[in-house]
Amino acid sequence: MEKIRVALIGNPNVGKSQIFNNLTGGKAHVGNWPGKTVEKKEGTCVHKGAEMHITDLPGTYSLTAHSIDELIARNYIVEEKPDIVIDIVDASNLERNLYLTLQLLELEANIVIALNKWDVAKDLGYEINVEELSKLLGVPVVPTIATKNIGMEELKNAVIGAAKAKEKRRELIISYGKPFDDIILKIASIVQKDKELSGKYPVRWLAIKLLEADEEVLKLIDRSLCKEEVMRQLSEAKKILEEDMETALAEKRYTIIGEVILPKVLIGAKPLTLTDMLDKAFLSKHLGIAIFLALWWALFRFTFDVSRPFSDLIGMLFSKLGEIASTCISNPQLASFIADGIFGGLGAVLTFLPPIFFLFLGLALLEDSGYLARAAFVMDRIMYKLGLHGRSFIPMLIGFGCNVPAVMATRTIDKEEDRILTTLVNPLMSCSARLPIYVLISSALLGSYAAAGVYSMYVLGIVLAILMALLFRRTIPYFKGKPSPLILELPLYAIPTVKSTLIHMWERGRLFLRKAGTIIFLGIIAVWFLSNYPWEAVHQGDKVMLENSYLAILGKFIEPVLHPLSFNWMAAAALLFGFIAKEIVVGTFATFFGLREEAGRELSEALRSAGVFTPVTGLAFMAFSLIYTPCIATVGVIYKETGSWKWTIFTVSYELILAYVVALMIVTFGRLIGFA
Amino acid sequence: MKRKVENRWIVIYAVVLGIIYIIFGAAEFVLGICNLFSLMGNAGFIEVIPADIFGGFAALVIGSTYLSALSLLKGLRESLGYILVGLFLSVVYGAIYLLIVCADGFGILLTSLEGEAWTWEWLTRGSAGSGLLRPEIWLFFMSLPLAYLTLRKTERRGLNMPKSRESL
Amino acid sequence: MAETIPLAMLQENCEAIVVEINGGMGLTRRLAEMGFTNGTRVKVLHSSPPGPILVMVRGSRIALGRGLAMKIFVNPVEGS
Repeated sequence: MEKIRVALIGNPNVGKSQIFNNLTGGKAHVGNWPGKTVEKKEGTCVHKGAEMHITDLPGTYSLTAHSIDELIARNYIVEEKPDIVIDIVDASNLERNLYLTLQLLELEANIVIALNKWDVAKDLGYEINVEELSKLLGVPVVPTIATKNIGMEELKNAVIGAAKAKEKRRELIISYGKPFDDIILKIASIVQKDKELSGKYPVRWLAIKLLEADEEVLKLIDRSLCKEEVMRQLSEAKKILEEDMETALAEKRYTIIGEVILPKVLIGAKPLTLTDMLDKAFLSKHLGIAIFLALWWALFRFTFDVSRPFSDLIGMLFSKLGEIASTCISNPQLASFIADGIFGGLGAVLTFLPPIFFLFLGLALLEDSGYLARAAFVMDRIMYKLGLHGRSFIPMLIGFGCNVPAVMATRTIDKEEDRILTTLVNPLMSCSARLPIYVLISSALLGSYAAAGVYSMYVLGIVLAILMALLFRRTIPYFKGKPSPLILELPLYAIPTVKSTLIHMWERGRLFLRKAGTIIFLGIIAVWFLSNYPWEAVHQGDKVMLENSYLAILGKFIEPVLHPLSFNWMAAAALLFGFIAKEIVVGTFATFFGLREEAGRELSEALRSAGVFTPVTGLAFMAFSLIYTPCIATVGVIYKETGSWKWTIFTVSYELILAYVVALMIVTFGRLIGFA
Repeated sequence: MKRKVENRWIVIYAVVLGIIYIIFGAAEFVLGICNLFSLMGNAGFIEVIPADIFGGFAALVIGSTYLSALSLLKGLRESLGYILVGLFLSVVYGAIYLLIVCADGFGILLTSLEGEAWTWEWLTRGSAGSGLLRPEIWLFFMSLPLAYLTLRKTERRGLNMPKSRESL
Repeated sequence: MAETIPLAMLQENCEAIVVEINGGMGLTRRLAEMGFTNGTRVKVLHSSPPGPILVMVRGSRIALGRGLAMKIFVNPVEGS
């Protein structure tokens, strides 16, 4: 079977992932680009006896050396030399999209243009002359509507056709006008002499990049024999042309698009659309933020209240399984292991699945409809004042579900400093795993103020996140300076498709699932082991003497440190396990009281009557759980995303210290006003 | 002219809805605050309006959005924009509360499998405050005719929303 | 002869032509890539200081932070 290597590229928001899914049937192999944190998606498509191996390149507006995404895309095309590059162009946004197309043509990539969102363009009143466009650019152009799976066959045919006709491809030379063209030719002819370079890279492209002072290309030339000559030409050029050639050339490209291509290709007025009408309200100075908050609340209600019965169902299922196991297995140790350890563990982990998936579903809807960009717009001003980037609020939102995908979501923030700052304060967003802790303690100890107790933790988290962000901005030299300004494209509003929304939800959710399946589960087994052994000491006849378990020993060991906070060894042990995963904290308490059910009144009662906490120390404990180090999985992700031990350790340390300080303040304040 | 008259009706309809949302929103909000500090016990007012701080706030937002349709001075386009967004929010909240009621029902089904008695209580009392009696649900249904009228108007003006949306 | 003003000061629904971008090279280039080049026609869709400004440029809607918009100089076009 003939093998064709295909790369997909295009601006953000053009429907690239939809086309990828259409071509590969949704089956993708996801990994990372080597040495980078950017995701790499690959898949295959078989069509008419040819096997297409498809790689999804990062969405980008251009192919400069200024951002990781662009470099990855560019390097892939230049070094891997895919047989075909499918350039996905948004038909409703032709002018800007063609900028990337021109860059691809200069890279001498063998492209096939997928002119996507054909229906949207028509709705906007555009008429595009596809034949003329194809003629001008010298490449096949295939109109598509990815969401309706229209044009996919033609696209595949075009890819196969173009792959076969590779040698006969017409070379397109983009003329930049007199002074530029001459210099480009001169530099190109010099570079041509270096056989190694000219064999690997398109020479004209190298010349243009040198003129633009492209860092990566300069590095290439650095090791070349023709370096001196090239440098000489460049300094000559600088005298004749303007200083900032990169921008000058960018302008030239747009001039070509606007004056040469579009007039022959595009007809259509640009009426203001439904999108602009909706934006009047969504971006309104007075209502914009309020609407965002209202939608955020709706998202929360959806996440927690609609998912609840599903969580209950899962809990019921596993406790039933546990019961069956304990009655069927005669060996008490094995029975306990299977029933409490495995089933109990799985049950505890999977109860968190519904809220997280519901949250991501809601977020996917907001994102795909186009609203989320508007939210970034209205929140930008506030975020900026807090020292955070406008887009920081998305990871914050996700953080309320689970910090692991939240930290990964910081990738959309360009500037490193902004990204790291957002990552540092992200764990203060109370993730859904901490909620059971609040509910347990509030219902056990706060009486009628229980709801207030739970709310207050969320508020506390947000307040602290703000304070820390401001503090770090002011005091840590690395963060000094303002966050980078907002440049964000607001896409047209549209009704999300079921398929793409579900795929989005799954992409984020599976990260939690992976963490859940491994770390939390192992953590629960660890708790089981430590709380049940040494077996004889713990299980004396019918009674369960937890004070004799390893868990208790561990807790008592740490207890002195937490003494000022009035946390006893149970709390200490619970917190210790909370480091592994916050989901285990409540389970640890349940184990102490010999209960398998973690939810429910029994545990609250037990907690209250055992006198482990007073209302004040309970509140302090909640605050401590909120603030202290994030779970292991989050720490792991922080390390991966920041790429440095320094920041990871910093996060863990400052949060431990902050947690201790805040808890201490609560306890002290409580004592002062008389609530011991 | 028929068009001008129809416009005015749409705006009035929206404004009326807006006022009702604001009234209920304020009530829910105030009750919620009282509940938080245990000032009045745990009940909702007239068993229909739940004590809900954030839900009340949201209703206030929806109401304000509808009321902003009064900016007809700035042109019909602006006014319609607010109405459409108001409708969107009505639908979102109506749907969510309905879903919550269903979820409660599902939850009761589960407990009945565990042996507890089946009740129909979830229809009128539950996580969504007053269940099906929740004002926002009724207001959602009341917004539907407005939705029909407004969408018909935007279609005629040729401002269709593209029914496709791709994502990165 | 229209005066040149920062984009940030352009009123809603007004159109203008980009004249100069007063930022560092990185900024100028980034804006150029998005379509903000000299001679480009832009229209302000939404502007309420001190929040960001929404501009229609080359068929797309781009949001710009206000500080950024202060660095882009434009010539307003009559009769918008």
